[in-house]
Amino acid sequence: MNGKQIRIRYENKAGYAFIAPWVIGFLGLMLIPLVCLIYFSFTRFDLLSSPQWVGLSNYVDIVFSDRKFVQSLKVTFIYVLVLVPARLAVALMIAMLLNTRHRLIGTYRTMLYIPSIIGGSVAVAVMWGLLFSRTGAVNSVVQSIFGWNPNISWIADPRTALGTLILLGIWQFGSPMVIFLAGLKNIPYSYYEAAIVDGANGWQRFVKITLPMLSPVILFNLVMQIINGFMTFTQGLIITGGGPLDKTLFYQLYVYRTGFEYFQMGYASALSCIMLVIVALLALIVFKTSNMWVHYESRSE
Amino acid sequence: MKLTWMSSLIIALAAIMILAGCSIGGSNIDANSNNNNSNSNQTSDTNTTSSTGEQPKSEEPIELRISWWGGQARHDATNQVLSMYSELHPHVTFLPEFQGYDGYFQKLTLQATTNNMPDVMQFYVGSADTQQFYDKGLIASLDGLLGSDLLDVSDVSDSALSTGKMDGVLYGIPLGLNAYAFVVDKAAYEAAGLTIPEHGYDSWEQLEEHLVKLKAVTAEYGADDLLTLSNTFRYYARMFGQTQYAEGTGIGFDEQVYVSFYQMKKRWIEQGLIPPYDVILTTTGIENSMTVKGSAAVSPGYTNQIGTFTQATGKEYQLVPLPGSRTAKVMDLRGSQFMSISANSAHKEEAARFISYFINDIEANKVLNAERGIPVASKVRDALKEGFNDAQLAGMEYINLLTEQDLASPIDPPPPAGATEIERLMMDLEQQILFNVITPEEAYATLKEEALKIIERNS
Repeated sequence: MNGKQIRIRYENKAGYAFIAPWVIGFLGLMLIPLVCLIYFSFTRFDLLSSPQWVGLSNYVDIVFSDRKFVQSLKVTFIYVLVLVPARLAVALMIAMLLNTRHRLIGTYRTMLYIPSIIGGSVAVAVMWGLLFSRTGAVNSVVQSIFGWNPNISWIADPRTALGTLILLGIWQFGSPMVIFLAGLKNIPYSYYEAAIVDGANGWQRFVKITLPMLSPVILFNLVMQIINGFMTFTQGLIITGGGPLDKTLFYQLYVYRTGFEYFQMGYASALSCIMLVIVALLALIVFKTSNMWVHYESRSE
Repeated sequence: MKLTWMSSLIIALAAIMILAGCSIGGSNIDANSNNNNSNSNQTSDTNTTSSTGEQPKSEEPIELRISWWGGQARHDATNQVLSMYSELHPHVTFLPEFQGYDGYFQKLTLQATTNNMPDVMQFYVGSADTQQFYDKGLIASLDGLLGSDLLDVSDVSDSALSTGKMDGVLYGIPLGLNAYAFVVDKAAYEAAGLTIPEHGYDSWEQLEEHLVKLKAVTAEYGADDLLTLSNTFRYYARMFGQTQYAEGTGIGFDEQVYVSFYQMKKRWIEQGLIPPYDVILTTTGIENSMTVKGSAAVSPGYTNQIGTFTQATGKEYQLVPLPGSRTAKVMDLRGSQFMSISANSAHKEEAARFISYFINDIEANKVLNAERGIPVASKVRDALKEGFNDAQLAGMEYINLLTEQDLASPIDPPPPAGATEIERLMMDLEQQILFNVITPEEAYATLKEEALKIIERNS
């Protein structure tokens, strides 16, 4: 009896000890900062003086009289709406190519994953800027193939700047690709065999077997990529500096500017809170609609 | 998933929060600035006692924290000087913090928030970035620390020292002097049959005429973007006796100045005298400039940058003052960067002694090799002169030219709080003008209205 109690107490302690790193991380890195963020969003705070309570005025200013807020939201939504489907499509396509038996398939996989590791880095951002400048490689290649030089700077022209950054984003398809690949490996080959015996062609097999079987993975990738897309920052800061004409002013870049360049931390916190709500709503919508298209094997059995 | 996103978004805030807790005490900082006052009183006291007593160098070991920004060469040289100083003064050890320029002031801001600024900092006096540090009393006044056994500035000229003052208070010791200039390709001028105006053009129209001829020589452009908002505009406004920023209104120039500047810039771009705007936007760094590539003959730059031009091309360049220098003394001399002491430093006197060594010691400056600009102490300058390379000599001659020919006047008063935001607004408007979205007149109307709002918000 007594021994059992001691063991229970010991087990409790061990349990708390094991969960402690997560709890500390959660409190220190998420919950407390989140609470502070919400608090600061109701204040005027320049980092050096103590915050002053201003109520809802940050939010009122943002919603009613901040053109940059509207512009950055527009830029970010266009970016996410174009990028996410395109990146997922490319990732799935490459994953299916890599899901075949080939020599050197491991090497291909590694090579195709590399852009995702280095793609967010400053060096690649700088390189991208050079490739798409007026005298960059892209214009030269176009010239040598079509014999005509577009003679524009793709990253500095208001019409093409965002498109260039979307292209960079699509190129970083590695992480959804790897997840797709894992999902594809989990689809039993016997399904395809049965379909082939019944005379289904490649497209039918893709639509009727691959997509439904992969839908939970697609859901996961979709949510992750939406979140990822809204967090875009480096490219806007380094390649285009938010310009030209604010055509690449990503939301996070605008938050960064108000916070760390203009020292309006309260205002920046309010902007962040708004983005938090927007992304949470989007994630909610995706989850709520997911039961219409996501197929869980366990449920159907 | 929501939380994963959150954590990344506010990671920067998290850093502050963890260090400081939710309540960042304005009281803390106020207390500090009080300390600062009483400290400077104490300083002058100790100052007198030590000059009479001399011997009581009760050298208890201390550690000075020092931070600077720069490139690898500067890091190596500065670290070497720190260890030289520690050899001479064994009780002083250093804790250096060094990095590139990007993010330097953001880091200092976070350190200030947590009441944790370094003792000695490489700093700016009178720029929009740093203004709020002074407004909040975070930088110590150096006036009480001057003296032959503390901070010795007897060898620094008044005009140099005045660059480190704001409202008559000395906040920073300039480490080198810099001046803005147009960097001119000598060979291109010769090929075009033009003489280089040593004392600058008398008008922008004269420069424009020459650019047309230079364009014929380079077969591409006459110059790089000479009409930069970040630098040239300030001097353009000075030609009319006006300033870029002003207290109260935010901007210190009238519509005429603004509109004529952008009409000129538009015209130059249309005529190909300077590159198209999209090229200007993507040309960063001297190495990528048209002048270095040989497709232009004039580029804007600072005196400490001429070495980069000569190294990149091997050609000869001359520094020329901006138009209007002779008539309106538009040029100014700027401290390239400064050494300042934080108000919360516990070792202000030791910090002052170190700065004194840093600007006056010849051996130390031989190691530093004028990389921060032409040294301010005349003895040091004379001692280093023999070892200067051509680019350094050219920079020094240019600065001498400005002072001897009376082409320069004091720098503009410090920009008001919110100037960073006004500058960003001016950049936005420039893009709208040059991508033909609005006219310069419309831009000025917007600028005037918005600048006022920014100032009101920041006051």
